[in-house]
Amino acid sequence: MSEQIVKIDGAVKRFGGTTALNGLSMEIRRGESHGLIGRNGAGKSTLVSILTGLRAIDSGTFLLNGSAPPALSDRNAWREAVACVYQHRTLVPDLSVAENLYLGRYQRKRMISWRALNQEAAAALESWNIPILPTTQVRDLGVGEAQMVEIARALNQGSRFVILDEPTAQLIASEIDQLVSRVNELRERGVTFLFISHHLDEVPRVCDAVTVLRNGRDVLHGDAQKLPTAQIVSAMVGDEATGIALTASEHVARPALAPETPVVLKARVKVDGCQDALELSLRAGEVVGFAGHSGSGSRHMALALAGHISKWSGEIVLNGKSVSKPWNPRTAVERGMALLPEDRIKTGLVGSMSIEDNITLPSLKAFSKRVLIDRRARRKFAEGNRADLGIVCHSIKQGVGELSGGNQQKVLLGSALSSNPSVLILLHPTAGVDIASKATILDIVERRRRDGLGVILVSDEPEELAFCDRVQVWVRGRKVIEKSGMSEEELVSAMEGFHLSPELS
Amino acid sequence: MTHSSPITAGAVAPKRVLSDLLQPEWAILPVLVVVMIIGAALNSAFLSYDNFYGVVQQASELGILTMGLTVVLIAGKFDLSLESTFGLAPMVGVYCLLDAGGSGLNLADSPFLALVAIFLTGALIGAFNGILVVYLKFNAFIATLATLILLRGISLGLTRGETLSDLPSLLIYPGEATVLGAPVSFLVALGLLVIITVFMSRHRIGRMLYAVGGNPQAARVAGIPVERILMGVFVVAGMLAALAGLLQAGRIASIPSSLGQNLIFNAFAAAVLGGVSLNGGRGTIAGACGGVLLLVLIQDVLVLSQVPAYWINATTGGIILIALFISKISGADKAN
Repeated sequence: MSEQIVKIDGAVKRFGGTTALNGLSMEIRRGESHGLIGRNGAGKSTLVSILTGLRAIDSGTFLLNGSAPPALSDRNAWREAVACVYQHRTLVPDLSVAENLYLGRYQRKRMISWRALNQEAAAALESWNIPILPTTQVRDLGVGEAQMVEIARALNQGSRFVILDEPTAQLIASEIDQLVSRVNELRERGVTFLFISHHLDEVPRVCDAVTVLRNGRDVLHGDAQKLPTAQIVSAMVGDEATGIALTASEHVARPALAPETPVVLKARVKVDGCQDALELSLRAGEVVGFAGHSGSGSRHMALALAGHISKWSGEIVLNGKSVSKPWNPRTAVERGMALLPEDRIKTGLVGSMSIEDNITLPSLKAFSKRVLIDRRARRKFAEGNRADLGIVCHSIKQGVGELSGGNQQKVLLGSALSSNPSVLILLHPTAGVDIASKATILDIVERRRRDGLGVILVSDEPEELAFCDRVQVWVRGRKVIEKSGMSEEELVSAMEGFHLSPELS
Repeated sequence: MTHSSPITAGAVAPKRVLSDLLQPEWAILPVLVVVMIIGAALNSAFLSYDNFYGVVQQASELGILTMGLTVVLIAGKFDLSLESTFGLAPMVGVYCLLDAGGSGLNLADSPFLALVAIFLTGALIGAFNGILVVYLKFNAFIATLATLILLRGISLGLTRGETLSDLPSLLIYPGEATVLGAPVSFLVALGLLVIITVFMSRHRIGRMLYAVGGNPQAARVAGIPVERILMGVFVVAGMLAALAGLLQAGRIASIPSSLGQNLIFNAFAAAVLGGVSLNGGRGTIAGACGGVLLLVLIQDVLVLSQVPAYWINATTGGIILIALFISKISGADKAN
């Protein structure tokens, strides 16, 4: 038995032109809880896929339990060595807890003995001190309980090394406490954990050691109890300017709005499931950021404003007139509130339709002459957009499914702007987009902003948020700060819940 | 469909022309030609005016039904019950009018009102299906399967299994009359083909329909009233099915309780052969009509080449499979 369960040295992993891991080194000692911290794109997911044997590194060394890892195809060997509890559930909701624990393995007998299976499951759950009835349907479990079942399944398959990928993202405070104490208890009994989290305050409660990743490299190792949070944050952010190509750096130069600039959007919205109400007053030509990770509420607020969530109370005043319910996407678009959704493929574009079709989807009425669509006007508009937004394609009749991510995002932006909205809500507008397109996308928004477009930008990327005049930071349904001119470090630590830590501990 | 492959302009242009020709709706043309050559070779009567007259009449009835189904499919939904609407709507129209077998309602004397009743019935049935599928969010397959059985049952119940005959001439006319050597039903179908094609490609609601079928969430983000559009689609499909039923009733000058039975399967086969995607968002009315023509021609060739009547169904099924296979290897079925 080796002292180190994982030993990685100089690991490199490339995907096409992008380097996901760039000389990463780290060690995880047997029996410790190891925290893994890093912003989006730092290489956490790639590292997890390598630790679980879904991918192999291109160069460098990787020792698992002191020896070379098993072949990628030997799934059983991997399952016995490492288990990962992902953010999304991997249990079958309509089967019982016991069946899920033994899914695919049962008892190697021809017929299943339910009594024996349930007894075995009960014994296993009891041995790990997890108070859940094996006959319960997984559907009826809470999020925290389901997570415990996943951990139990991992342990049951023989693994004593468990990766928890942002386990607290969807948990409420009491469930987090439970998870923390259960993890600490299991560690006492010799289980090793790799704990990935966005919430820095949780790290000292759970972890012994911590590794910070940035740009595919380990930038900081240390004792989780002793490292000051400020040092972790600065390691996450780094000194090098990552977003050079963004126009965002110019935001400081934006002249102050004239005092008589009208307020285009005034909102006081309390969304179900979020503790704090959104208070917003957005003036024409202003950019307000909603910062926060998934589950923070920032996205919910924006969706409620755009009419995609109906469970809210309060008031939205758009262009001086209070909006009437039902406030749905259709009425929102009609009243001049446009949304750029975060998932281009799933919710943004119609992949089977052309660029021209997609770009005019919200504004078809404006392109209709008497009965039919004025095709010439529509083509002119689409061609104008193609030139303006710099969409690289060989024809506007090309299907959007064939375009690259950056170009798809430009089409989507063109589509959102085609109805001449007075407020544009952007959800992670430059996520998964190449650097050059990132700059163009923010540039286009900036041009419209100068013409008086009010912008709300939802993001967890400091580079994107630097584009905003002021930023509200949300953590777990609460607004922790609203400020303009926040530094990258201030933003990151606020989003990681650093400001909350005094209350929680 | 790969969404991520970046494409450089220019280099792909010649390939584009080729892929345009391989569009699902065009892939059916060579197959049509082959079937016609085979038909002409097997039986000289195939090329006769009388034979084509019959083929065109049948194709028009199935075609109008298929147009309705295609609009529903493009919007991403399903309606199995269209064939029962096909049978029931003309029946209700006639019942409003006739003292048929002593059980009619005898509501009005005007055959024109009966015509209105036929379309109204189609629209109402469509709206009923729409409410089930769109607002109550029932699975479209099961919900319209249930209405398929329900409506066919009503047809049977109303007629007690008998055939309605002695239809007023206004109701027979569209299905039976000839203008300039062509059946009126064909002219009606042709007119609808043009109107719906223009509507689908050049009216904003037509484009919205493709968007709703291609990606309902994206359509919603763009402010399109998804539910209302889908309701409209079901209503229109019901009315088209009612019209198709009226045409067939006119051709055979009677309404048997089984009018339209099993026709929906032909409509589905025709739509898919014509490149309409069962997943929504893809396909054209013209393509679907090509599929209809192919199917009707194949059946005609089989009859003319004296395939025993009892084997026609089995042969048709086999040929549909072969046609699907051809479109698979020619790459024309990307849509499905």
